[in-house]
Amino acid sequence: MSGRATFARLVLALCGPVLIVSALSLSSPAKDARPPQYAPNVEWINRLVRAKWAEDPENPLKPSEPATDAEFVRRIYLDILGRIPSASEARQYILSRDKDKKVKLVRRLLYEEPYASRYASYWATIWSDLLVGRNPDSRDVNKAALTKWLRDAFASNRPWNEIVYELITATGASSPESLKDGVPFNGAVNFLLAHRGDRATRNVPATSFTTRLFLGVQVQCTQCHDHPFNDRTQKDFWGINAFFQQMTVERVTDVTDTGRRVIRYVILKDRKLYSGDPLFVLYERRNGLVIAAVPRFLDGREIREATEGLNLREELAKWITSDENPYFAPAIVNRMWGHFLGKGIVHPVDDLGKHNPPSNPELLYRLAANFKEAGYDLKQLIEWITLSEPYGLSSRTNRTNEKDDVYFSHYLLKQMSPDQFFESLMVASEAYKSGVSPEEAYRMKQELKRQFTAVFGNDENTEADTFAGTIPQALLMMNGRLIQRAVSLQKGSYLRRLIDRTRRKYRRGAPARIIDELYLSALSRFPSRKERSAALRMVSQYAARGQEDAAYQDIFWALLNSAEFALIH
Amino acid sequence: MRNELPKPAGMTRRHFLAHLATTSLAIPALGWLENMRAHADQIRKQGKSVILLWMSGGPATIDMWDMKPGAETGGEFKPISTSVPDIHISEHLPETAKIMHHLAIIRSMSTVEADHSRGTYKMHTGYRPSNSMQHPSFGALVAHQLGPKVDIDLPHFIAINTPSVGPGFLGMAYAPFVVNNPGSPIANIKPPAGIDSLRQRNRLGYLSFIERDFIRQKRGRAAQDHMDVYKKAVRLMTSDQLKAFDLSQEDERTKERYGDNSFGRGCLIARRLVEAGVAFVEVGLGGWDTHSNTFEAHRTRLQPTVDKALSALVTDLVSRGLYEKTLVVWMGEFGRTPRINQNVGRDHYARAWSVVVGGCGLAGGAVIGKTNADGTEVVDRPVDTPDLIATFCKALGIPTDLKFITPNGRPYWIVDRNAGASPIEELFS
Repeated sequence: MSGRATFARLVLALCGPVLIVSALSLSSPAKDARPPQYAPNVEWINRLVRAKWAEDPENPLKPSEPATDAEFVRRIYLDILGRIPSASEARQYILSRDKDKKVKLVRRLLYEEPYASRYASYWATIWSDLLVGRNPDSRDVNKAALTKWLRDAFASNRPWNEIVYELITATGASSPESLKDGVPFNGAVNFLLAHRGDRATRNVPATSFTTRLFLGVQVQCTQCHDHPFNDRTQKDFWGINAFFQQMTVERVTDVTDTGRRVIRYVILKDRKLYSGDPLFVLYERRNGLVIAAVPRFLDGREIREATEGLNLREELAKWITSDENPYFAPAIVNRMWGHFLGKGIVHPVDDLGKHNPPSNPELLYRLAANFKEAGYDLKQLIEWITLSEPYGLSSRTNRTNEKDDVYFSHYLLKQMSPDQFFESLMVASEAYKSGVSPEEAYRMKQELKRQFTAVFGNDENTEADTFAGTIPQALLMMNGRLIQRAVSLQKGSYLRRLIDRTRRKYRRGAPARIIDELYLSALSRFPSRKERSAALRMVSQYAARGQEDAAYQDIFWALLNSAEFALIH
Repeated sequence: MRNELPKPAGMTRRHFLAHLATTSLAIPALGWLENMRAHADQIRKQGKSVILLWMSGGPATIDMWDMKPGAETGGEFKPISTSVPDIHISEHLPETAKIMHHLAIIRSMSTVEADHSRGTYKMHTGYRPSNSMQHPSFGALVAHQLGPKVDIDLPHFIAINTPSVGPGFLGMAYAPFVVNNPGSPIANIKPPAGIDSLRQRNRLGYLSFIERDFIRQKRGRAAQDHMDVYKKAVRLMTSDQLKAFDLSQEDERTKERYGDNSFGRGCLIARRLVEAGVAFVEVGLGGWDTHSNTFEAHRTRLQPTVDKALSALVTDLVSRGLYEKTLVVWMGEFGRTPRINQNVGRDHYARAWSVVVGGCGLAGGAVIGKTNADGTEVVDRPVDTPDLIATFCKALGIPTDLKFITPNGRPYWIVDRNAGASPIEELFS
């Protein structure tokens, strides 16, 4: 019997009754045929996190209260789907008396339509931004094709190891345009096409992106010199770099009517290797010594010689995604934890190594081991994390935990990403229902992201987000076209329809109902008594001037501009 | 030693909250706007300022400020003489050579970090990146320290053509105000048509009412920061100081002197912002990561761009009497290898490189430190980033032992206490 199995039995023995009860209550929906494996994993997380809270017996951290239903429903929609819940989705959850509503909600968002599709496109956006940047500057890259490929992968919940293997080894054409010529199309090639570098910096970005994103290891500093603080060396960098030397790129172009040459698609493939072919890339030590690097894994194993038909990217991908790789599972588990909890167990999420220890090592390695055992299933991992105690805590702090920012004794406030912000604004103002087409929304969102992305002038394709909580964002929220559209009173708009509908239905008491609805739409909660009466006072003052509708507009404007809207809490 | 908790500049936090309490519910009561307008009419006091010219990618300073003619590492350029007898700089910096007596070259930078993001972080904060502390960018610190002395509507940390580095534990109210198209109007600066000042006040009144409750719930810094940022944004919206961003007020000859490019325009705006009282302006110029064909890039693009803008900026600051109060810094995240690689490029090198400083009372025409004959090692007076930060602090009148307790309870010193750092005294003689 494996150690893991013994462990699992031990857990079952210890907390069996609880587990069985929750397991039973879960098995009710017929369409959910998957085994309820979340409970033991959630219990592990809770136990290891609680141990940290109690670690200092002199100053134990008292965790925050559990989040309210309104807080939970808002954060879970934002974190899993990348948008706030609509007013009706929030209301439904808040008013539900089902004691398993939390588990059911998480599962609905992950597995049921239309949520599962939305989940896939949200995570495809996250990963395409990570993989090629928000504004890839290489004309070789078809980001939309990569995003589509990722969407399909997340929609079918492909195991993470398979996704990564495919991204590293992909061959084929970058755009579906190639199909007209009978050339196989594969959106996944766009990842490496974005990071080929120029002739001098051949595949340098590919090397650092691959190791940073999939292993959480920073080797780019060792491009030029050994790393002074972690155990990485220049040899490590160029050893990984050497795995990309086999890639070749073919651009298929067309000449437009105006005589401009445009790229139709780009084909990524590997040149054939024959037995005995040389397998090295050259790099310079700082003292000017030129060194030959053969493909070398970070554990020191090398591929010194080519064999007939050897494919170096496949060798690299096999090693990266293998069960034995000590970085692969922790890297993704830590990144996912950081996404949901606001901070990685290792922070920053992509800098693992001896120099940067995890705040809770047992938690990181246990989660990684369990994730591996669950077949690198991202949706299961999301279930474990979102149903855990720390994720379910309020962001309101108490005197013992207000300074804690590493042990997850309260939920950490997070800034919305431009994506989350945009989609939330669309949901709050029912933009998709009031005639904004998906194409138009996509265009607006890209424009927003372009506006708030700054690029560093170096060769590593690094970008900075200048969106979160800055003055330009505040100006955009107060005065921008997006917000004007969201609070519009014109025919067909959200406010117009809400006001007219409510007035038709309720002759008296319409203002209070409209205000409730505005709060639910923007903040996913009902207003407090104080808030309701302040808003009603404003409405009656406006009404006295014959401007009642403008009052709803101004209240909605204020709600959308609030910290409570902009922060994931 | 001073002990300071970060608090919002200008108004104290208590004052601000009290102010909001009076405005929050009563709709016809004052909103933020009128109060802000009253400030705009005040005459500001002249304070000290910083203009940081940020050379993103890591400039090959061996081809500019510390040339090695005759050495194997010397490169393609010739040195020329300058307005200071013993100082020679690159032939592609002829205008700067004429004003060399206003600038000092630190030729002995030795900073360890030779990775873009780590080097950028260190040169902006004086610290290495760390898991346990988000160090503030020096721009944020200057805005925090000097901003309150000059009450203007403009943000006190403005970054043009660069994201700079964030405010760390000082919070988003000290984040750089990033301007991406210098010369174009600030996006979304005007309230939508049809929203009169009464409605604008009501909007802001209701907003502050919600904000106040949310802050009271003690969910973390970001809630208070959000409100502080809005306060600054509202103030900016209604300010006539926005004209500092408007280059149509400058004549063509001036624009030509700075260079008809984004960096030149950025430097001209930097001058206008400093004239308006802004504490810290950073202007970025990218493209210095010359792993290949470094000399061509320097000759055709990089050095001419810097030469025009830097010389025009310093000349204008001097002639307008601002140079004594304005610290000008030219630097990147590291230098580049003396050795020229097989692609006629130079790679990252932090062990020996140069930074140029001037103004704010620093000695002009000085050279600090020395590298060896081929530029690979510092042989005299090594300077690390904390020394540089200490020097800036001293020039600006910020105590070099300034201490903060961060929101999560950790002590932080503006100059890394463990670095054994001190100001470069030769620059103050």
